Amino acid sequence: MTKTAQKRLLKELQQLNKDSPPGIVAAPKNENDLFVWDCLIQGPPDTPYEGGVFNAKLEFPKDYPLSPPKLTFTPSILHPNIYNNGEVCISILHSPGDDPNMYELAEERWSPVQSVEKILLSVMSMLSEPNIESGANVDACILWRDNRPEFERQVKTSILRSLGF
Amino acid sequence: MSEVESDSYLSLVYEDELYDNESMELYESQTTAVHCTDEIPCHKFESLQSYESEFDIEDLQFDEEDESEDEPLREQSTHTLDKPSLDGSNLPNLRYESLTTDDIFQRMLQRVDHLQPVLSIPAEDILLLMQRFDWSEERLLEDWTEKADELLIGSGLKRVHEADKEGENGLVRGIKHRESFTCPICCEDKTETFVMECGHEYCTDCYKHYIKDLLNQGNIITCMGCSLALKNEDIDLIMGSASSHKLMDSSIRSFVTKHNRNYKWCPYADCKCIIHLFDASSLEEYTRLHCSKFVTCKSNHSFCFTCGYEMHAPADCSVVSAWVKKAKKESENLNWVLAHTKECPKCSVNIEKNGGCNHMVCSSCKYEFCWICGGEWAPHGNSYYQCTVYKSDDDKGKSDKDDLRKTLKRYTFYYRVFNEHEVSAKLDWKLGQNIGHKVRALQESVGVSWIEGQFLPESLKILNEGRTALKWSFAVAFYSDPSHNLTKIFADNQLLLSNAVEDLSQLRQIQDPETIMQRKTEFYNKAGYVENRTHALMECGRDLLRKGICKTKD
Repeated sequence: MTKTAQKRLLKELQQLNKDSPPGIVAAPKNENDLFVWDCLIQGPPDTPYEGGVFNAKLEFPKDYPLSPPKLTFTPSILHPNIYNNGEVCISILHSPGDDPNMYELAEERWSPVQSVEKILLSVMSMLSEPNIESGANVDACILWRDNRPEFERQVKTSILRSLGF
Repeated sequence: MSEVESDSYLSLVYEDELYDNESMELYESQTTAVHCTDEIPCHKFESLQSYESEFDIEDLQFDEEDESEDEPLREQSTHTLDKPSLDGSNLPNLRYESLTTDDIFQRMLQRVDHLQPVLSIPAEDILLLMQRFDWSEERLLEDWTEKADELLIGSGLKRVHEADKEGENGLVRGIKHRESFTCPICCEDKTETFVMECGHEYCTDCYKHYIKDLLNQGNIITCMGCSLALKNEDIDLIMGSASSHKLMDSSIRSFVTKHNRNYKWCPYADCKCIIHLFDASSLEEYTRLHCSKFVTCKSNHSFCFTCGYEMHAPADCSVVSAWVKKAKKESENLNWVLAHTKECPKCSVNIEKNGGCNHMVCSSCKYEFCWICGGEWAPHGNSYYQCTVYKSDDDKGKSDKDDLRKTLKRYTFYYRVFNEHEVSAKLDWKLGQNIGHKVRALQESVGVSWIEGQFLPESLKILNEGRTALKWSFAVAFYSDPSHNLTKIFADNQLLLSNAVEDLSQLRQIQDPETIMQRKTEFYNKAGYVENRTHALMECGRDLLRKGICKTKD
């Protein structure tokens, strides 16, 4: 299984190097270990996250691509779908089996045909459109819903702080 | 019967008649303190459970026509079990049946057959829809009448743009053999692939890994690239063997788990039976009356439908859970030490009693004492069989520490008898394993008919029920107010049943088939007596609970 995962990850890396979508950079943390990647994600324009660049860590399981990887923002960012420890909670990172009630459509969930590129694109769209219904950070959910200006202010402040201002 | 047991049962009554009211109050105020002490033994129900499950029931086919009033009437042909409640009068009679996942699946298949003319789609597809709706026909039909198309697409039975693509690509679902194909999942060149109408094609190896992971989840398995569903025949085609059966099995399992009001797994290890209670609404009535619904699965395991423990009358579920919780707090190690050893009252060395009578001689300090009461042996004189000395002291000026120790001692005492009966029950089961041989021996050597020999397994069953009732009665006794008269009556009942059980147990030690046949009437009489005593003890225990004399909350 590990061999399959390595081969597949190598292929995805080549693909990303050749043709990477705008605003995304991703590569293994070090050359010897293909199972931990570092990613840089640019905050999408026209969102509170605009202008920020966010660092995230992708951890792949040994049975990848059967099981989805885990994505964690380091440091964490204020967002309704990101846990306080930085872990991202979106449907594409869940196996279909995790959702017995079938709230999420099969296409939106993890399957072996998904890829790093698709995950990172989903994260970009998550940044622009938070999903309040299945929130990971309840405080952020409430703030986003009830006091949008304050939410935006807090996000901006943390971006500025992360950039060293 | 080894001497360990026959000795111990004789001092069942925790004799604290000497408690005056004042000391009782003190005692009650300390019951909470006991929960945080570290010296309470642990309960061993799990070990017994696994033990009994190891025990193959085939040797123990109890008489199916047993119609005594306390016994469940079993009708194997219909798998319908009907148990008249113990006191018959005011309890609703709950009907139940014992099933396996296969039985349930066969029923689902029948339902699918009924639905087929209504929905007019292939049976395979209906099975898939049923799986999606947790095997609920009503919900399926409701959704079907409202939005059949959406339902089919949502379940992966139909593609969104079916009409405009079907003709074009003309793809047929199935395994394909290709000259060269690079699988997009493992990125390797493969020759055998599986393709669906959606056009998504992956190598069969990847599909195998993918399906294997999902078989245990019981959900619909879809194409790796879209939501088109894999049917059972597809799964079997890819996986080779009848793997879809595993998927159906796990789907039925999740059905049982989701409908746990009416369906319960048999809690015995490795038992695959499911009990289906037809009407669970009257279970509350049982709880209100401090009764429990005991059910028996196809493999002859009896358990309480509400709490899943073994038959625990006269205790009710709350007494059981309190007792088990109390016992679980402590470690297994300490449990063993407490259950099997006692400290020498003089030099405090731990002594394991591995047989013999109650007259103990400490091997390290040579102190002679009584195993039951821990007191000096001399005043016991010749009463080898009954320790009459174990009585709590009612010195007025005892310190708190003494009281605490007394409470703990009281618990340890009840735990010890509880445990001793559990051990005895195990021994009885061990004996019971040979019961089939014994009956056969009777048939061969004495020439009795099979039906005539059935008094043996029957008496074993009664013996076991008596022991179980006795065992749990100590949990009830522990939580009962010791100063109340009814508690004393209860204790008398315990003693009577205990003697009856030991009598019957001793009778069962006889090995010689001819002697057994000669003493057949004795078997009948003693078993009948045990049965009556069990019944009386259960009634008395229920009275304690009903009248609030036995309370688990302080």
